[in-house]
Amino acid sequence: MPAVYRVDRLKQLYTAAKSLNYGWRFEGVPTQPLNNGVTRYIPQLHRVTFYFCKQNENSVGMRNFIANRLIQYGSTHPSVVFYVQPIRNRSPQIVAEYGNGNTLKMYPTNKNMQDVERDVNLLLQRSGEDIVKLVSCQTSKCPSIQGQWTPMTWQSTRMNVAELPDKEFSRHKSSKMSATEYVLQQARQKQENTPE
Amino acid sequence: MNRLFIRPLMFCRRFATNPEVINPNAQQEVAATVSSEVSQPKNRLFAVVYVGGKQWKVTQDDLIVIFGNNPLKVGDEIKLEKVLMLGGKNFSLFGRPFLDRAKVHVDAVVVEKAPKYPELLHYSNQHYLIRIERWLSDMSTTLRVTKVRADDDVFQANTQ
Repeated sequence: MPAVYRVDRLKQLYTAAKSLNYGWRFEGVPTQPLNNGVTRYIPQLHRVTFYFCKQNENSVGMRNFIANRLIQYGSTHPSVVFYVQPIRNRSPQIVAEYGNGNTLKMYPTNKNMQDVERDVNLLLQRSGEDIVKLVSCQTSKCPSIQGQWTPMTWQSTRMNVAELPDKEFSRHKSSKMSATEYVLQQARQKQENTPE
Repeated sequence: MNRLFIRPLMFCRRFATNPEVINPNAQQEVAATVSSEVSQPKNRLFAVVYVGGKQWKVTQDDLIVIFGNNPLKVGDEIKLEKVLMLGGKNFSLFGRPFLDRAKVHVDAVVVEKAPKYPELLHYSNQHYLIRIERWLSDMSTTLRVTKVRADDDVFQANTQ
């Protein structure tokens, strides 16, 4: 990241903004680029480039992957472009570019074919959004449908016009029966049960 | 374990009051109201679904993140069948414990699978020079809820 941002060209501005944001974007909520999945799922990975060396031993897993698996991956993922770049005396690298402009890189040095395949699978499943520490595991455009509950939600509106303190609204409400109420109830039952 | 928990639960089940209809006219009225609310596609519904060991209150276009390994692939369209509750602007329907899965439709699509942001687990003991740092990470799956709908006779199916 340069000390002074060059803004004479659009691309410079774009790349500078990307690196600016990346530094402190540690926390966040689940997001998806361009509301992906609202209408249908659109694959976000656009292109993958494999850099490797034809002779060096640390690219052996990548070479095996390219020889044995890459055709199959290309046929099963028609929306992704796979490039293969053999470069002499270079450690292997997988570069994945996503629809939102993010680029992810993986370095499968001295890894076998299965590990390279796992890395490629991880890149294919990503959406290109940064991995952030999730503050919440859910995002919603419509957080409440019935309205948020407050203590006054189901209160009687007669309280608005009553002159407080009012005898009715000052009554202590409890789910447990008080001793006075119990005695009164017993008396009432006895009165009902006695034949006239 | 058995003596502590399962036997009291059995007794609870035995002494639980069975539901009985006191006023069938009121029930029919509620059923008609719910079906009229549900049948209009403009009315937004919400549901409480059980996914990944948690209960989520979801509506259409929600994003939820579940952790752990699962056999889902990116782009898979799934149906969330454990629906505990369905609600609208003017009604709420609770399952016992689940609503009829044939009548309630909560659909989702797998949008992303990515490793979780790593968390640092740090053990240290001051008296001994024991310091263990572990970077813990897990697989996370992001689901987009695409549909929360119910059939018109969801109330009748729930009461039977």
